[in-house]
Amino acid sequence: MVVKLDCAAFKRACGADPQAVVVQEHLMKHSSECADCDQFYQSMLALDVRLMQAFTVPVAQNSLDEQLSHVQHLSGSVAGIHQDDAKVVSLQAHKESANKNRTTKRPKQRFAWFGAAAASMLMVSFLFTLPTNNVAIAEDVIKHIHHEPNLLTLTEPMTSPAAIDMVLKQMGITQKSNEIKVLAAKLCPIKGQLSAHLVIQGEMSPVTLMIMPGNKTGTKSGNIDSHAFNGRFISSAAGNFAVVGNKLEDIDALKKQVNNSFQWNK
Amino acid sequence: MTEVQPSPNFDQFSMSFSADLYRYLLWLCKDPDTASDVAQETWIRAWRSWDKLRDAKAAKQWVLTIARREFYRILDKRRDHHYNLEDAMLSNPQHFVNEENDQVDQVRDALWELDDDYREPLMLQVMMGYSTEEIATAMDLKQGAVLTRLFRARKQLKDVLEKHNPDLGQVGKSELENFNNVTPFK
Repeated sequence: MVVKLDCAAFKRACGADPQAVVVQEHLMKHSSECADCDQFYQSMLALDVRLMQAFTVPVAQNSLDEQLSHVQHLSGSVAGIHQDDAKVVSLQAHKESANKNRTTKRPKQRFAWFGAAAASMLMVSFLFTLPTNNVAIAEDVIKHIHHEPNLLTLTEPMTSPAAIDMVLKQMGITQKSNEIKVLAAKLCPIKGQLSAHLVIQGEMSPVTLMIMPGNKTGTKSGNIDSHAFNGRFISSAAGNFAVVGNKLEDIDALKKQVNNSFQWNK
Repeated sequence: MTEVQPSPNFDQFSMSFSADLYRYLLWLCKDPDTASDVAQETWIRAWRSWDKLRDAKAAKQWVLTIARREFYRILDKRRDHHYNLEDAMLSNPQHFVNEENDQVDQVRDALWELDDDYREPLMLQVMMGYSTEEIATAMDLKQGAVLTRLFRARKQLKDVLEKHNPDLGQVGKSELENFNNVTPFK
């Protein structure tokens, strides 16, 4: 049974949790029927993308290593942390170089966060088949997958068909066939842009399908190959797909299924 | 006393969660040195009690609870010596300058203008992916209170971002009016 909702109640719910609009049927229904509330919902999603960017402060790998080193010492574990899919960049080199060149940017003391002086990014190694523009996006995709490892253990759908449709609609995508079984769908920011994080059923295990509308940076199709995953980047003028699964998956077969199943709306 | 060995999954979990936990603590502690100290203590405590963790799926929330308690414990201890979080942040200005993206800086500045009680639930929701029920449990609040804080946090952020940069907010006047006309949760 769908509960009737007024605009004030919708905005209250959406302002508290924009993601709830995709999950709760009565919110979804109201958003699809009220243009003003739908616009409000879009503005909340846009704000959350910026918030995610702002919250995600770069952290130094050697700082993380140090935080865990005491536990490793206690447990007698082998020293040295290897974080899967990560390559460490020297923090000290960044610090020294940045301090040398630093000038006062703003007269007011502002509480902004780590820049080149204090940060080193987790790097992902990729095959050279990926053009430069793709590497940054693919890095974000892989980081995002690591951020939500529980999605890779799904055996049953956790998102309703109506919610999946809503997510696809947000992306400007139509699902043409049911060749692919979608287990989960949610909206998330990739490289500062609202994207869709889908989990689809692969041959061996759940596979990640990222849908990123628009192609302003001119990304091109290519392969994604990291320590834990292999995948394909499918680019077009309308947007990009990233199909990423474990090393045993037949990613080319999945890529074909994705092309057959999803279509960018004109 | 013999130390109990942690379960085999501890290493994997700690490696996958350490970055997110540290980020959360950076925002909570406002100071990277304190955040590192709290993170270190948190992992030690988590490791020592790892065998008591009944539900592996609750690991993140469990570790975060330890982290929050540790933060407040260290804060109380330091306050005895006139330690002030804001001063700690100001004493390390070189850590808090972001030269990469002005827009991101502006949003971060707006986040710092939020009350701690509004910023934390927003951080748990947006950055850590917590549900409102999980935030309520983590912060020992009723769910209605969490929803109100989240709503007010977003409202305040929109107001601040619009004031400093009308384009950054990308929100029309009607949306702000909508926000202002909505009654928060009881």
